[in-house]
Amino acid sequence: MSASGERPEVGRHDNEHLRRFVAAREAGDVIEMRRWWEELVISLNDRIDGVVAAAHRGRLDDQEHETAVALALVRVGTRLMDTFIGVSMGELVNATCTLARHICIDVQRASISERQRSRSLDAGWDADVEDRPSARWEADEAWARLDRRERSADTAAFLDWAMPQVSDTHRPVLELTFHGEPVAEICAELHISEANAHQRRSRGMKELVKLRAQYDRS
Amino acid sequence: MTDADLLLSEFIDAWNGGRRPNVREYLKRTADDAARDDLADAIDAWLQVAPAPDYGADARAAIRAEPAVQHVFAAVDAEAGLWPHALPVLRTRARLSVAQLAAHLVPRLALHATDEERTADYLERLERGELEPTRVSRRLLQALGEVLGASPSTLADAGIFGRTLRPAAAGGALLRAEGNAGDHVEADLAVLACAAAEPVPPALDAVDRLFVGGRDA
Repeated sequence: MSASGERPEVGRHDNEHLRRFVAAREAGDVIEMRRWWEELVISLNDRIDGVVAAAHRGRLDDQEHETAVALALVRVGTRLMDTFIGVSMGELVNATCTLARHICIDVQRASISERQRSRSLDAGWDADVEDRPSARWEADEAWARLDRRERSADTAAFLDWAMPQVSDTHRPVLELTFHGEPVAEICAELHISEANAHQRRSRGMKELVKLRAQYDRS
Repeated sequence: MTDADLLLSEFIDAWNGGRRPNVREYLKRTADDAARDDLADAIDAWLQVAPAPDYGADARAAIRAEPAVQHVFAAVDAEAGLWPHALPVLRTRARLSVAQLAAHLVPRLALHATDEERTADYLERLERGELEPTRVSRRLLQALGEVLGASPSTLADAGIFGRTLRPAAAGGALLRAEGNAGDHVEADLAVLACAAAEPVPPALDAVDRLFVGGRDA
């Protein structure tokens, strides 16, 4: 496999599920809609779980984590059914990550409030919940932005923009990574050691994080 | 190469290989808080751009069987959506009984202290999925969200979850009487006359309006 040129594809297999779902929704075919909606939820589940876990950095307990994941699934599933007008899996992935991250923040805030209230329970119910999450729901706005296409935040578009800017040392490793190549294959392809491949991959991701911040500001 | 480099790389290979790596497990393997935060940031960045793994049939079946996914899928067929599942979970997480939740809501909603019991009754019906989600007021959802730690939008979504994916109910059958329908019409009119003679039901009070008076109540 060549390590250059081709743009890494995101969710290339699930794009077909999304296309079929959107087509069924447009046709009003509820049975087909449900079929492909379920496939999309299955495809997104682990990503939602992972984004939630990364957002709270393992600081929520299992129950709180599961609650955050379930709420995120509800939000993503509902938006997908009712309002999502994106056409690529990259757009859906981006919107999903935003929603999941914000729901995790909400659960974290609730968790902190709950702990504060638990401490005050001994003194009765005087300690109220004014510091609970506000009604302002940033994720709604994130999704709305996506729906309005005010922001070309499609993951594929970001990678198109970002990958040429990644350093020559790290880019080939990232490209092979996005093509699903494991470290052993990358080492063989690029004639580098395993430790070097791990390091270049990690540093390449850090470059992408910086580029993402730059991309989102622009 | 750091441990975080190695963990991230292992995570990526497992993700791409469709082996469903668990982020929380990877974070536990870090040496300290700083390394954990670095790895979390790196994994988050990866998940934003990662290709969808080629899950095999077994992996897809395993995901489908996960409790959260099962609840979400089952809720599509339930009239009250996810409320019968989500509301008790959120309340339990907040460490509140139904009565305690009612006690929190009453002052927030400017109800009388004497309304606590009826509020608790309504809350139980809400958790059993006996109330029409679209008739629950925004004010109540807002107050519930504040106490339970979820946004009103999430609660509203959970209530009507899946309606778009349900086939529309079939229209009622129209039957034409073949013979003399006079007796049937007479019986129907008698029923209607009895109903008309009943006293007018009491108007909705403040508690009723919050639970069954519609979104703007």
